[in-house]
Amino acid sequence: MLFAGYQRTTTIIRNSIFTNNTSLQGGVFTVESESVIRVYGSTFTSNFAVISGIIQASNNGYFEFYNSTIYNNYAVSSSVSQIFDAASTSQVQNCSIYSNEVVSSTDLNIEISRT
Amino acid sequence: MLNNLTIENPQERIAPFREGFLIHDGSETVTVNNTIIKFWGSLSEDKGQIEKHLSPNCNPSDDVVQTVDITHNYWTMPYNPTQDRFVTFYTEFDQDYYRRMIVNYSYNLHENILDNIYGLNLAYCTQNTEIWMTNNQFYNVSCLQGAAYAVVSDKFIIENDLYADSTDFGFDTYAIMDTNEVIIKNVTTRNVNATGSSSEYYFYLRMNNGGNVTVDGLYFENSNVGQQRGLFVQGNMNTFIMTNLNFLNVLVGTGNTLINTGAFNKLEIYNTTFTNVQNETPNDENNIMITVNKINLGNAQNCIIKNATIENSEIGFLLFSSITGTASQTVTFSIEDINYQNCYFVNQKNLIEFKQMESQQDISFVFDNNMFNNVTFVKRGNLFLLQHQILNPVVLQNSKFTEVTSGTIYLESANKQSSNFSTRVMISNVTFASIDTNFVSLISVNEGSIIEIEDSTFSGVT
Repeated sequence: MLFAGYQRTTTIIRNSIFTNNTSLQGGVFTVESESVIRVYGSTFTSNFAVISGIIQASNNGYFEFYNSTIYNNYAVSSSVSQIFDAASTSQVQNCSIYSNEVVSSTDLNIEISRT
Repeated sequence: MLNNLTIENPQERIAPFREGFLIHDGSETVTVNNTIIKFWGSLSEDKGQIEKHLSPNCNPSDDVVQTVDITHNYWTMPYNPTQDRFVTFYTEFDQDYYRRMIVNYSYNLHENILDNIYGLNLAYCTQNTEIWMTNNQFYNVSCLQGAAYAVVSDKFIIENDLYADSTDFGFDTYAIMDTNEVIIKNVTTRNVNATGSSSEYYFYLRMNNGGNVTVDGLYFENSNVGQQRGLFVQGNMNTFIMTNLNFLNVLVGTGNTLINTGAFNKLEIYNTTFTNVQNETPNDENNIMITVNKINLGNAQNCIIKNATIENSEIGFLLFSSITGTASQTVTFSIEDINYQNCYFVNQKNLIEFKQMESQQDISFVFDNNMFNNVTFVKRGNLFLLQHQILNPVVLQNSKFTEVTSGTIYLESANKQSSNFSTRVMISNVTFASIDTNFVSLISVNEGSIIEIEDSTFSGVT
């Protein structure tokens, strides 16, 4: 949904709500190339990605989450985040993270067939 | 030398060729009223069916007001076997002549005319000239040029004029140059097909420095603008104010713009509708409804575009091109109450664009209460392309995006070498819902750009 890409970009999120968003990789955010995403006081729920239900960081991209709530998100791999090839430090502080699930492809097929 | 010339009463008059009426070196007052005039002629030898020349020899720069009234006449050209070109009224003043002149060209009906160069051709007037062109109607006029051409005047007023049912328009329907003030009120173009090039215009206004343009009621209906520009303004204006613009069922050629603002200190645009404004051919692209050409911060005041509706249209809405000068105070450019709905873009890449413009001055752009609903980019495109590098962020607030397909808010600091400012955007209290990204990002942040998002909701972005 939000791509922080090439290069050295800054994204700051405050007091926002992200719900029922989907993507292949990074259900809400993808960050790379020395870019940063900083999140304050926000809520993430019911988001889905095949890989990384909320955020995927790679190629020295990084993120910081503060005072936020992340729950009921899901992915086939990594229900909240994946970090690849990162020299910078990502941080999660004072956040509530719960009920996020890794689902199997079988579960997805069942879910898709229901819809 | 005549002191006064009056041609009146509804008897039929025929000006077969050359000048129908030539007034040379005087008189002070000319009236052509309530007359039927049938004519043909050639431009190379005959400038106008009614022609008036003034020189300083016979008209000293006194305080007498020279008046020319051409009103309530019927102009037609039933027979033009050689398709010669002509001007209906032509006047030329010596440029050193400063007596005040008032031209009143009103309630004239032009009908069934071939190759009308201009209805009104004021080849060279003076800064004291005031021209009123009101309540004229042009039907089935095959024009090589257009309704009026004027060089040098103090004030030009166009009011209640109608152009209809005509083809093969070229050049400039209204070309008004070196003027202090232009007022356009309730002017309609209907069922007109343009054939001019991109250097030709429906309205071409070349304003004097500090000039003012006021438009209240401009209607384009069922017409093809083609390659010609719509309303194109040049010069460094003080104010440019437009209200009640209506574009309905209009075709636009590739790379065109319907309204180009020129440079200004103050711009205000209220109450515009663009309904079914489409590309002329399926391959056309990069068309813009409004190009904000240059914001001159030297004496700038706050600017606003407010209450616009863009519906069932395929061309881009807004392009910000450049900023110049030094601001003496904070300047806010507001874009308020804009509704984009049911728009389907095939080739168009950008709906709203900030070109690479750099400024360290204190100007803010604020999009407030904008609604985007059912907007689709077939080949992917940008809801916003943001390449500005200015002091303050572009603000998008209190707005809603719904049912958007393949549209991106794309940030990019276009000048990678600039060490002054990055492209900055603030999104505040905005709702994004039911967005189909088609595997591209809804928001894409690139090349050192900075985005801040607060108090916003993202739901159903897939």
